[in-house]
Amino acid sequence: MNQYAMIIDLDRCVGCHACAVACRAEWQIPVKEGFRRNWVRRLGPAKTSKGLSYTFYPGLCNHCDHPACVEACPADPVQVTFKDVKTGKTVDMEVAATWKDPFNGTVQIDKNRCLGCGACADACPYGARYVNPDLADDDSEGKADKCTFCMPRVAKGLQPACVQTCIADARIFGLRDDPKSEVAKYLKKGAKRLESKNVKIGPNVYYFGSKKDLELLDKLETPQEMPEANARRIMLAKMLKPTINKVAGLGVAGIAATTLLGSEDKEE
Amino acid sequence: MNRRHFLKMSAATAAAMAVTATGDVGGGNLFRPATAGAAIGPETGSMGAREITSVCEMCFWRCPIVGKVKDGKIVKIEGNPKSPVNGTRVCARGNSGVQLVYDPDRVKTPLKRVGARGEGKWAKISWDEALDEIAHNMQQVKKKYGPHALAYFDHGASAEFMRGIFKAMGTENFTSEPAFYQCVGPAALAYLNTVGYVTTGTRQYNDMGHAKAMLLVASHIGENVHVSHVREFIQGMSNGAKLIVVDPRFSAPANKAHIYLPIRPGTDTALMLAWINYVIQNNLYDKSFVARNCEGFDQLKAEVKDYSMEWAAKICDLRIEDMKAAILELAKAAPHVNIHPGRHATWYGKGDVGRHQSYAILTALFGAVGVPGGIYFPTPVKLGKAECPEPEEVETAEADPSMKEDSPYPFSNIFGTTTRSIINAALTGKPYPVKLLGVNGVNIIQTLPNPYDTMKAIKNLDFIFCEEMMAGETALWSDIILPDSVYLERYDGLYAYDGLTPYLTVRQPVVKPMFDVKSPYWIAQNLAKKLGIKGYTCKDEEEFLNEELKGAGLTLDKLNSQGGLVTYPGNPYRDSKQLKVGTESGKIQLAVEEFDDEDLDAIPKFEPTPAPPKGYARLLYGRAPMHTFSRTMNNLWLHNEMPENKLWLNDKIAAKLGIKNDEEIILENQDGKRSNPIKVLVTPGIRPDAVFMYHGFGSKSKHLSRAYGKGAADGFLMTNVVHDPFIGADSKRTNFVRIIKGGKTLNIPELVAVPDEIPRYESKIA
Amino acid sequence: MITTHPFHFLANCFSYPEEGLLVGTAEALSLLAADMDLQVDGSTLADVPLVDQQAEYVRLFINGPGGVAAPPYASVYINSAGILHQQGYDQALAMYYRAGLEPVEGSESPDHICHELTFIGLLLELGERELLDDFIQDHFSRWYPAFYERLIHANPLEFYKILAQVTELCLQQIDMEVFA
Repeated sequence: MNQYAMIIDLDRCVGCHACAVACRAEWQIPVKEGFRRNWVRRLGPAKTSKGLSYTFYPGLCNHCDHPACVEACPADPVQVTFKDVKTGKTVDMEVAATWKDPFNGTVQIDKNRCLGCGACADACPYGARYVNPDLADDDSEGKADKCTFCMPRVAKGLQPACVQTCIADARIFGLRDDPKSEVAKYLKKGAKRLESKNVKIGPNVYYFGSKKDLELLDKLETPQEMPEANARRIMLAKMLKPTINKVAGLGVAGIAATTLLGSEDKEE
Repeated sequence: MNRRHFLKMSAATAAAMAVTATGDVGGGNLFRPATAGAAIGPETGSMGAREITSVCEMCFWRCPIVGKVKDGKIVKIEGNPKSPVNGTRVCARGNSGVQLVYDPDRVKTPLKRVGARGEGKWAKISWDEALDEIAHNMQQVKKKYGPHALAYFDHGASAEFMRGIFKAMGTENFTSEPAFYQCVGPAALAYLNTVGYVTTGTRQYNDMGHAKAMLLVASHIGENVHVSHVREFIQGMSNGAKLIVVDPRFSAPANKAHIYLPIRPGTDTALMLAWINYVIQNNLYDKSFVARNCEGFDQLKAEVKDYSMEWAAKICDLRIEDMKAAILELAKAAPHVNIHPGRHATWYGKGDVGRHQSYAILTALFGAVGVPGGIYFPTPVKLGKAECPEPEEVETAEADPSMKEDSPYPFSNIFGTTTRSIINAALTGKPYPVKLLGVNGVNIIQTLPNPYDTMKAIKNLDFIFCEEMMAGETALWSDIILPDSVYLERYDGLYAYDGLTPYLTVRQPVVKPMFDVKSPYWIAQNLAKKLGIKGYTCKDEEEFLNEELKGAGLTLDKLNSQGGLVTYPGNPYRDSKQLKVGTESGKIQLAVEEFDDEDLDAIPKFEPTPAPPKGYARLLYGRAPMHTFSRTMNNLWLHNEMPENKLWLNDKIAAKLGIKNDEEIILENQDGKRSNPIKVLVTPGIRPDAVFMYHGFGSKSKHLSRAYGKGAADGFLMTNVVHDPFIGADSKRTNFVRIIKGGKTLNIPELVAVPDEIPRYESKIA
Repeated sequence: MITTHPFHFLANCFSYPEEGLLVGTAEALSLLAADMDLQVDGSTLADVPLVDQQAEYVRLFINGPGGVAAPPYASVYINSAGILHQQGYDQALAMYYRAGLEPVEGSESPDHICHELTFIGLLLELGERELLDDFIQDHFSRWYPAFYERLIHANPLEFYKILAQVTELCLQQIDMEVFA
């Protein structure tokens, strides 16, 4: 697997919020508290052990190595064929309505099969997911939604919307395991993950910057505990499943057809 | 379906409805047989959209953009990849232009006031009626009080066509962009007279990208976003430039600074003069550059000799070793050093021109003129001139006395009539009454300090009309409101950028106008007709754009076939041995004789601005990166990113007053004026003798459904205004506040003693 | 075509009140209300100076204190963005095209309530039962209640309150008479 990853260079970032708005525009994210794929939080000015810091937390889905959200999905698994766009190699996998792509490492959602139960959103320690009621259908009151690393854009040779618009070129997107990539260079320079003792699921958004800025970011934004899954919500979702299963068959075909560079569903 | 039985309706009802029937019945004027199908594109996101190049106007920096259109709707805005300044990038505001087009709070049709001024009771009227009414009132006022009783405040590209109408009506009060007198005016004058051109006006010629050291004095690039500036700043930083930031507040660039100087507000010129003296005394200046290209050096040397670093350290409340380290870093980088003028210059009234002169002087001493990293020279783009979008020239009588020529501010006439003079004339009738105001693209009640005076002035008018996209406070007070088209719906003039990599591009409609909105050219053209003003002969915008493009060997079609933008080679740098600048002598003036001729200082002096009265802190303000002035607070996406401003309050002060982070308080200024409630950001990142808030919030217009009442408005706390003696610009950092929490007035304790050299502002209230 | 007049009439009532028609319109509206068992005093509806009726229309539907009180566009309500030309607009257009119609270019967005009520009237005239059902179930009834709520919340003049109620009742009537 060659994992897609993103670097956020806080030395360059000026906290302008262009990334968050470009993402909202590109994917028509409704405006409501907590509805976003991409966000900026303004941190400080506050004291750190290395002096004053006034920095920013541009956040998005981390497309983790061990995503907690994928584990939490109660939708019935179906078999899906994934295809590597470069080698043509295929892999069959049993996946629920959300999964980690075996070739590019991105975490994706099948909107057709999503129950909208919100279990995945609860499970994410970074708060990267929300349930979008604008995508409600007959079987759900909404659909889980989050950053896709802009796979539909990437498939067309474009940069993710947030990267393309970044006025300071503070976001760098690419393949983590390709030593020639800009991402790999930043990793060598010491870009950091937002991880703690109890939250170690391998986030693939890395932060680079001065020690004081990284200290403040870590202190304020690194999750310290894995969230507890909402058992009641998952149970309710499971009770809904029989109706969803009928759709599942369609979902497989849909996914197989769209398994190119990434396997994101159509968003309507 | 049995239609005959549908709806149990009595014959009387049917008959009554028939009476009301107009041509609308049957929907004949709303629908017609379809000529094509509704095409809903199959692709997700903004992909598969048609792309139309244009120019942004979410702020006035005017970045080249691409509008992405699907099914006749604009779905996204990106930067124009051909643009050398922003490429595919646009800022948060640029991204949010889509929202502006489709905001349900837009002014949709001409409106006429039918209640009291400020009440917001309007009727819808036709364009014909609206323009008749404006024309009638313009003629009446002109007849009764003379042409100069007409005045026009404008800002932005769409306002230029109507300016011609006021000019043709014979008034001298027509190029009074309030922005100039609220923003860059003093800086523009200082640079014009020192280095012979306006390095900081509509454009700024600061080569930060190639600087080895940069000085920012309260300029908060990054929070103040002009994309090309931010990119040049970040380019400089990533190339290893040393950054010195002087600011009472720990701003976004302060966070990136190598040396941060948290200066006492109002003492910047003291620091600058001490540095200039230090540079001269320690031979840190470029002797050959100064000898060859500057005049007035000996005078400068003599004038600044008493401004010592020790003295400045006390005045500015800074550590002398930091001050020294900073000036040495700047000197080491010379001539590739950028002494940045910032943008907004109207701080303290007195001394604002002098402060910018001191930046220009330090720039010259380092030889940082026409070299990479310093200030550079513009490269004009050659264009044709179309006469047709303007009125015919008319002979007009000069006003006697003239507000423009007989201004108490000797240098204001270079730039037009001072905003303040026009407001005063409306308030007092002196030197002559101003009785009609046209306002276009500027919310004067938010923009001008002391809105209470502005509202009083409006009450004295016979007539006021405005052209607006969104109904802000000024619209609320207007007699006629004309709906302004959004920049994505219209043509404007050409955009010729004369910076490092010059380019030519054009604003053009990305989508059809919404509602009953007309283009600014159409409005001016039709108002001119009603007033009997000749001119405006081009059929439409395309005609005059093509005329102007002829000069560049282009047409609109040709330009569009080249991605909507063409670039030209730049010529920004000069050989210092052959430098000739735009002053009369061709030399850089370290001492400005023209100032001396008007009994103003040829070389800046430090005159302290009064310190806060006991119990108060100085009110500072600045720009938030996702907002433009007070214009964007109602934009759905931008509102969502920052819905309200917060009051930055020093952590030690907060602890003493028992105020916690995010607690809501009210501010009261030295004249007893109170703010809306505002939440507090408790931070060590602001001095204890100042507070700070982002500008533009706290809208008083209920017509802005999202922005109304969110956060506090700095402008409504500005009742003490000092006018700069050169051009009469309005000071904005001469107001002081204390805190009201839970109905209790809290005095702000004084944690930093004020030296005897600095007088204290005397509050008129207890 | 008298039987389908109500929706064209309602559309007229939701357009800007021009001179001369007010009294007749108010009377017809109160009669229509009475047919729906909604008791209204017709004289109070008509007893408003034209200028106040116009100012009220502007406040409610064009530009009013507190923002536009009740923007009369489907798009504002159908998804949470609350702006024009979004899903609600796409839906309306798609339905118009399904009926073989397209909106004439004018100053109003084609998802304005006047367009939509007129369209319902046209579908009734054309006997397009299935399309009517889809239009009301999948589109109009998805936004009209939210619009109604905002309108009532704005404490409108009696005329607009009754108009909103009568429109609601006419929709129910369709439900009973056409789809029963």
